[in-house]
Order: sequence, then structure tokens, then C-alpha cells
Amino acid sequence: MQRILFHFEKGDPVRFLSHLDLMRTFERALRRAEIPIALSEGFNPRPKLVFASALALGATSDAEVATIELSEFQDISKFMNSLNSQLPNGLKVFQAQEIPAQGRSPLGNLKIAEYRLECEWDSSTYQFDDLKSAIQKFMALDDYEMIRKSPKGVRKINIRTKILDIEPVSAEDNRVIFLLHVGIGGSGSVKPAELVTALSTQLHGMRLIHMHRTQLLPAEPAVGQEN
Amino acid sequence: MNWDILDNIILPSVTKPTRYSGGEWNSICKNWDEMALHFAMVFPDTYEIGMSNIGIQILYDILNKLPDVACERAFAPWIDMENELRTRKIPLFSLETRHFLKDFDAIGFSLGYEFSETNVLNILDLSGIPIKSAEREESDPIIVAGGSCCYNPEPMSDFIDAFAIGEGEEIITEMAEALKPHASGKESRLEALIRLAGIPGIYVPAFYDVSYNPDGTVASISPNREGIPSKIQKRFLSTLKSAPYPEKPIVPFCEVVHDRIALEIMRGCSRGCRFCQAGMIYRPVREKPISDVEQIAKKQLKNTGHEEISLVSLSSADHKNIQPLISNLLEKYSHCGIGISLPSLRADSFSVNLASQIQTVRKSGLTLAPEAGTQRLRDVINKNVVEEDLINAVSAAFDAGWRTVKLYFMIGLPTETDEDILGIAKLASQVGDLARKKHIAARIHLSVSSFVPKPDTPFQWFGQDTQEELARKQELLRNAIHDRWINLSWHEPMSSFLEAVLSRGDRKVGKAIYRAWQLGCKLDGWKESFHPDLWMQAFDDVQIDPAFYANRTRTFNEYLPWDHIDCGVEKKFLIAENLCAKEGKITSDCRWDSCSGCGICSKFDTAPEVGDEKWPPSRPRIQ
Repeated sequence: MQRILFHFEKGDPVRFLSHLDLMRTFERALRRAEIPIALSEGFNPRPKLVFASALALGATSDAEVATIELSEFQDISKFMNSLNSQLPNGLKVFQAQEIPAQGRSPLGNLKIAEYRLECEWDSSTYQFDDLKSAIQKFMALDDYEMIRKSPKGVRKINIRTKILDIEPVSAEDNRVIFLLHVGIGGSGSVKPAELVTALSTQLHGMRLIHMHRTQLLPAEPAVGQEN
Repeated sequence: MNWDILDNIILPSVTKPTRYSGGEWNSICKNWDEMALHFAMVFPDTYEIGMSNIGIQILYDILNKLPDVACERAFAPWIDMENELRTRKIPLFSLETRHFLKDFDAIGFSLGYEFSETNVLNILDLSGIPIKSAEREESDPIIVAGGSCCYNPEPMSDFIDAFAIGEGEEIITEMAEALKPHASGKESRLEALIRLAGIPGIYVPAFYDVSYNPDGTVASISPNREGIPSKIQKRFLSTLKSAPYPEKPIVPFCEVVHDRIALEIMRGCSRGCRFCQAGMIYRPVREKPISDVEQIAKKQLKNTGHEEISLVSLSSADHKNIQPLISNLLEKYSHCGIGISLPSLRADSFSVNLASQIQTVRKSGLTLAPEAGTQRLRDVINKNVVEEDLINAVSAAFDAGWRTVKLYFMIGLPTETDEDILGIAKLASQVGDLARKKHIAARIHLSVSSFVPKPDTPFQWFGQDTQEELARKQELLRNAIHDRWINLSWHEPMSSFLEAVLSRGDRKVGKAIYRAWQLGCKLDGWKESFHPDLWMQAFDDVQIDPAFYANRTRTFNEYLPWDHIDCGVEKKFLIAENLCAKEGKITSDCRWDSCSGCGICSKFDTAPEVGDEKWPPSRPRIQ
């Protein structure tokens, strides 16, 4: 048994794949690549493939992390090459390393996701300072409840508590860019689109154009990070 | 076109955006400017249904193998996507290279069931292409259609420029060739249609006039031009040996209806169920040699990464070598977690034993189709299953571990009496008793649909029961079921009624389809968007009596709206079968008994292909 930790990017052509679609796509690519995936025991054996954190539908990323267990030993560079040759355009594994087959998964250490959000707004009404103050006001709140609808029903979630910080980056023409750090894992996470909706109550008409996940981080940002 | 709005605003907001975003593994994007012909293959229903259709994958593969032809796909958008496209005035586009459908040289629709017909109109409208054939101009694409609905092309004749009748493997290349001069601007639309009409199996409705009798029935359908055939004969492959079959089918990102490898192992079925259109139009039976099947399985597994193979045909257990095929596939692939499934099973223990061999891991429900509740009625419809077969099959299923059995029946069959309806309840409770005797807690699902008379079947002349009568029969059956292990599900009688109108309609019915679309009918196959009231209003608005098409019993002398389309099986055989039905006489399968005289083999100088062999041409003939 061999356990591999790998990093991959999810680009524009595949950004509308749901988490389930992504799992299926990887499973099929692995099978096409004839990489010997280990299967779970039981009635319905599943490939031992775990993603660190589901990415919101429509988001791109160059910081996705997953682990996989193989039933036979594979050379790491061969693993990467053969998998990449079978992944559809937009998905690419850019780093992989062998990790101990036993013990806790390193994915559990990843607690924070960083997103770069690009929004469209009315630049004749708002300026960079307006973004800063809207963010300050939002961060000063203790709670911010939003309604989330799913096929299972409607529920309220508090998005403020999951947001660690928001960093305004730029405002040029009708585009604003800011960085968002949110907590992942545990009891559900916030969707970047929900934050944009929340901010648009102050910045009327602002809407999300593109979200990109830039990093997945351990609880202590930037320290002790794996290379 | 700036696609930012689509990518950044529309797709993030609609359900299942991968329906529209393309880029799937094995999809083919060719260089648009280098192509002599741009062909859009359109399935007029959702992506998930269309991508489960083998025909689409076969034709996509054949066309894209031609070096100067690009074949790209499009599907009916779901309601949310349609609203976005309409609001922002974005015409419908192809998945591969995002070209608008109106920029293609030709569009081919797959017409496999009547409820997708309004979607054809809607897709044309969304593409900015005139819906009516007669209103199209030189710059518009040529609109063609194929699939089993084309055996009665008349209801869609106002909208489709050319129909391809029969199997598409050969005709599609001939059509592509014929369309090239038009695509390059060397020929006019009319010249292209004349060229298409010269291909055997192609029906260009504009070249035929329909005349009617005073009572509203069709008097004749005849060519209005020189050199146009008066009868259009279906096309089919004489053998499936080395027939084209995709080695690299497209692998969808999202879960589709049939999310697995579909391996066609046989085409046609000669069991001769008298209500079944597929059993008539896909004759003769042609088995694919299992060595071919195994080779394709190997390649498709390698090229798709799928985890399941479905062995597809109208009746897979009838393939002469089904047992060795299943054994070989299990031996090769079961250890790597690849499952095998059989979609269509006969109600007998042989079939159940096959199914139990392949269902060792995942136990889904078992579906059997006795179709009718009494032996008398099963003889009428020529469903050669006796009660003992069914009980043995269910018994074998219980023994093999199945706990859910689905039984499929039809009501409203010709000659049906209340006793036949009660027979369904009786048969179901026998299954319940069997489970109790075996001390098994079983669930028995009765799925009951209403009989729809179809063109090219021995039952094509019968009127359908009225909706009131069907409702009465449903009630009768409901009251006859007391076993709490049995649960009953229905097909809506109104949708069966509409299906009957559309499947046996004439050219006038096209006006109702158009009106229904105008009133907002689309995605009629989806419960949430099926509007029977709008359909009834549409019939009313264009002064068409739907009962004339659905409920009226025709005489053998009547000219039927599809009489100019030759499905291969002789009309005199259909009449003989109709008469046998009324007498309760069964007709046996020519694979195991003497020739039943359907006429296809002598007409085309061919023979059924069973167990890798063509059958001897001179076999005893009955009737």
C-alpha cells in the first residue's frame, strides 16, 4: 500500500464540475491511466481518494490538495505523468509526494482557504475606499445570517463566524479584487458568493465575476506549511 | 460573441452547468475553418438523456472520423438556461466550439420519442432558425432528423427538411457527402434537398403532396416532382459484424441517465410482441459476434475509465452466446471492480440466472415484463410468457437474493376485458404469496402503463381506450389489490393519449404541435413541464380532434399516414398478425421455429444473423 499526497489545479474549462463530478472525473482518469487505486472494503467498494476541501461550483483553483492510496507501488513521477495524460483539459496535477501509508491524513491539518474574488461594480458610484469601509463594517459584526436553499430545504447559516479576514487588493475600472480567508472543515463552510451578496447590501450592484482558490492553509497561516 | 456573460453570469446561476460547458473526455473539437461541412447533432431533450443515447455516440463518431466534417453536439436547455438565453438574446450554441446552431450547414435531430417533438421547435426558435421548413432561407441550415419516430414522419413534416428512415450508420455519411456542395455555396437549398432525396431512405416531405378524403382520412401521399420515389424504404445494416462502433465514446462530467459503457450486442427482436414497434422496425435480428463485443469492451474500458458495462439490445438474454459472453467478461474484469448489467430481461428463469451471475455485488431491483394479466391476453399480444415462466423467474430471483421485484404491465390492450385487469392483481398477489411461502419480506412494484397503438405494428389499426375507460380500468385494478407488499404506479392516461395522437398523426397534426409550442409546451416528457390543458387548447385552436387519431379504430383498407414509408415488414404480415391476435393465436419466433413470413428477408435478400452465422435463406415458411 502506498499513500500519495498531490496538488492539482482546476482551471476554467472544468470550473463548473461539482465536487461529485470532480471525484468521478478523477476516478475515471485513474482507471484510464491504469493506476492501481486501492478500494475500500464492504458492499460498495470506493476508491481511496480523498479531497481536502470541496471547491465551490464555478471557482477555479491552483491550490487543490488530495490524497490517494494505491494497491501497488508507483514511481511518483510516473504517477503524475500517467494521471496527467488522462485528465481532461483544465485539470492538472503539478506536485505529488509519497507520505506514510499509516497514521492521520495530513489533509486534516488544512483549516483555512484563501480565495481571490473578482467582482464587477459601478465605478462611477464607488471607489476603493468604499470597498475598504464596507469590509470593515462587515468584519465589525458578530453575526451575519443568510438563508441557504438546497433540495433538502431552507436553512439559516451564520457566514460571519467562518470568515477570518478580508483583504482589499485593488479597484480598477469596474473591477474590484479582494482576498478572502475562510475556515474550512468542521460544520460547513461559507461560500464566497454569499459574502459578495452580503457586501452588495452596502455596495449596490456589486456582483461576483470570478473566484479563484489560491491557497489551502493550516490553522497557523504561512507557518509550518508543507512545501 | 463575447462569452464572458455566459461563463461569468449565466453558467454560475443555472442548475447543472456542465450540461452546457462541454470539454468532456473524448469530445472532439475540430478546426472550424478547415471543414467542408459543419453538422450539429442535436438531441431534443436534456443533456443527461441525450448523452445516454447510443445512436448519438455512434453517429458522432462516424461523422468526426470524416476528415473534412465537424460534428458537434447540442441539447435542449433546461428551463432556467432557456430563460437566461432568451433574456440575453443569446442563440443556442454547440458544446464543442460554441458556434451558434444557425451557423452550421446542417442540423440533425434524433427523434426517438414523441414527447421530444415540441423541443425540436423550441430549439430551432432558440437558435434563430425559422421553425417551418417552408420559411427557411438560403442561409439557414438544412434540418434533418432520424430515429424511430421518423417511421411516421408526417406530424413533424412541416418542420424537418429531410428525414432519414432506418439505421443511420451508412446513410449519415451519404448525407454528409450530399450536403457538401450546399455547404460550400455551390448549390442552392433546393438543389441540396433534391440531392438528399436521391439517397435511398431519405424522405423530403416538401416533395410529397397529401390529399385527404371527405371524412378527414388521408387519401394519398404522392411525389410532386419527377424522380422522387413514391415509397421510401428503410435503411439498415445487413450485419453487425465489424459494424462501426465508437471506441472512444464521450465521457460526461455529470451523472447521466445511463452512466456506463453501453455495448450493443444485438439489433432487432423477432419475438413478435404485437404492440411493439421496435420489434417490427429493427428486423431482422442481427447478433454481434461476441469476439467483436469483447474487443469493443476492452477498448471502451481503456478509453473511458467507466466502471460498468451494459449489454444492450431489445432482449439481451436472447443472444445465442450471451452465456459465454458474460462468463468471459466476468473472468476478465470482475476482479478490477467492473460491473456488468443487462437492461432488458425476459420473464423466465434463464434470464434471472444470467442476472444473478452478474449481480453478485450490487443488488438492484429486478424488472420483469409480463405485460398482461391473463394467458388469453398474453396470447393476443403474442407475449410468449406463461404464468409458470413468470413464477419460476420470480422464485429464482428470490432464491438468488432479490427482495425487490418490479412487474411491468399494460392496460387498454386490444380485446381486454375486466377479467384481464383483475388478472394483473391476481398475478401480483401470487408473487406476494410466493414471497411469504419462502419467508421473504419482498417489495413488489407494479408499474402499469396504458397501451399506445404504434405505426408498423400489428396493432396499428386499433383505437386506444378513451381516457375515461383507462381511468376506470385503473380504478378497477387499484381496488383489486389488497396486498400491502404490492405498490402500484401509473402512467398518466393523458400522456398516453397524446402519445397516441402524435405517433399515428398525419401532416395536419403538425399544426397542433406548432400551436402547442406557441402556447408554451416543451419538455413534455417531464412531469413538471407537461401541460395537458395547453395541448387540448392547441388541438381546439387548430380545429383538430385528437380522438380521431388516438381512439378511432382504422380499417385495413384505410390509407395510413405512414404507408409511403416502408419499414421492411410487409403490411400483409401485420394484417395476418392482427387477425391472429383477435383469435388469440400465437406466432413463434423465426429464430427457433419456422419463418413467420414478415417479409423483410425476401425483400432485402437477407436473413437473421444468429450465433455468428447468417441463417440459411431457404427455410420453411408458414402462412
